[in-house]
Amino acid sequence: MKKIFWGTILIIALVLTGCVGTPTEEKTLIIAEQYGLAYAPLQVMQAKNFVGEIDPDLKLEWAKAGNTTAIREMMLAGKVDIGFMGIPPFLIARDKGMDWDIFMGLSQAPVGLVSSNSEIQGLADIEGSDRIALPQPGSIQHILLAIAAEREFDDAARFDQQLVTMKHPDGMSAMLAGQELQLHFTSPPFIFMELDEPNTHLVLGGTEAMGGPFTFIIGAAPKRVQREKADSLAVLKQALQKAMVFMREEPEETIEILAQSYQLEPEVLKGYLENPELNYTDEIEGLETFIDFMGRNGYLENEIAADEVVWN
Amino acid sequence: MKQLRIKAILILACCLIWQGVYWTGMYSPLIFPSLGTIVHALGRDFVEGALIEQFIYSMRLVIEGLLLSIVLGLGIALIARSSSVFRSGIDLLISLAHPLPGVALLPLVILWAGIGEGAVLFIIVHSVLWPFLVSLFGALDRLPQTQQEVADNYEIFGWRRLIWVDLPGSFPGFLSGVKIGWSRAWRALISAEMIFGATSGSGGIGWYLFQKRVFMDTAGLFAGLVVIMVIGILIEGIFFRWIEKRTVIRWGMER
Repeated sequence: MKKIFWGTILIIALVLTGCVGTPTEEKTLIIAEQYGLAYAPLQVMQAKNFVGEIDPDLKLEWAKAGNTTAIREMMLAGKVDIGFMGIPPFLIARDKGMDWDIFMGLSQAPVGLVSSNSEIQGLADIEGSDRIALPQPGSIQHILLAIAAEREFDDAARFDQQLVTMKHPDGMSAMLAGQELQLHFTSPPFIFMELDEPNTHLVLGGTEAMGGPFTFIIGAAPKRVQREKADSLAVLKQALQKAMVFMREEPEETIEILAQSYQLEPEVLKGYLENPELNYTDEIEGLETFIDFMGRNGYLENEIAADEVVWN
Repeated sequence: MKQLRIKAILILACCLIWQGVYWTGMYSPLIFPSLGTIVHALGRDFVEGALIEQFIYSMRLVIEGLLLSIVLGLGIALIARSSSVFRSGIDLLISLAHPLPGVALLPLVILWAGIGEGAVLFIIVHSVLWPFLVSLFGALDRLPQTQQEVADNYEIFGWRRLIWVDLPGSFPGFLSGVKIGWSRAWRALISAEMIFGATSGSGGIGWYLFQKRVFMDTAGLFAGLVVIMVIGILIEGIFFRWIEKRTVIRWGMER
């Protein structure tokens, strides 16, 4: 009898603890954490506590995610509020019915196809037996390659059977180490490191593939967050804009902050950041080009209007 | 027959629970699709032929990797039976290499085996060989003393001893090693294929699963998993059972 009594009390207590604390959760945003030069405003914003300056009550939580696919799944499971990624993976999920929008651009970056084989100077030199390493099918790297393939050969899927999925560091070591893999479609800082090596060259640049500038990384938030945490989302956007301004106006301190969080030598990092193609702006460029191309080539099944997927 | 019925009921119950969870709407259908859409995806990919083609490709790699591991394992066992130094070296190697997942060795694999089929085979052999050796050694160490002494008296040594005396005597261990190896080979294959992508149009079932996931076709992803489970049940319940009936059960070593 006594056991049942205490057991009941315990259960009630547990249930009650579950209830307390829910209201305060309104003021947190869970962000899928990503590293890399293209995400630099996130690290600067965190180091300078820009969110706290605008709204001291808003708490940011950071969740680790391996890649874009994991971010989407975490978001669908309600474990993450905000994610940053390339436009194509965003569109693929949106097309499949995932209810989310782009709330800002984060960066433009030089991406490209690097080769260690001097005989491969253009896409036409790539043979059927050559393999191309990139992060994953459907990634911005893959879609850029497909856009270039469509323009040059009228066949967007030309290289699809030659892809090898590798994380950037693995792809870099595979290309630099062996003879078997000679092509790597990558992004900063790996593209900088690879091109610094002897005997490597750029086969295709991202801007060239796209036919113009485009946003490399965007921030996306599900409708649930737009509804329930609209204020917090606005604060986050503001804080990131502040970080972008800071990065332009205080390059010295920016380098100091980023050198620490990326474990890079300040001089090396300075060189990277001075690349004219690496820009931190909240504008969203190239969205329509991606939608058109991906719709035309079957990556998207439904009609998507560019202005409908951007949160204001 | 009764066992079969219990298994069928269990599977049915799992399906019902799955569908029930789907109906509660607690998870987004984009990551937790209904049974209907999974079956639909399964049918669609079967008809289009994609699933079968990828499947045959993967199956061939699994069988190649498994056979290679068995041959290697038997060779190692043969040497280890005659040299205790070699045996302790192998024991050390097993305890070092067994806990490491193949994909964690990726940089080394790329260096040694490249990025094609060779790399996938390498990762399969790495996943199969060590557990296979553990069960094989375990069984060999427990061989009956009398049998061994009889073989000594008849002066049967070397590979003939392994084939005619030791292996039949340790067949239950050998067989369970192969069975463990079979499922380990599948696991290794899928994780390896997810990394190494498609060669000449076929990337195998792992690549199929990976593509389904990145293009957010979750129903297709689960359809692939269903196929893997069905193959597992068939091989385990029919093929291995058939071998057991003809060997260890017939010899009275197991029931």
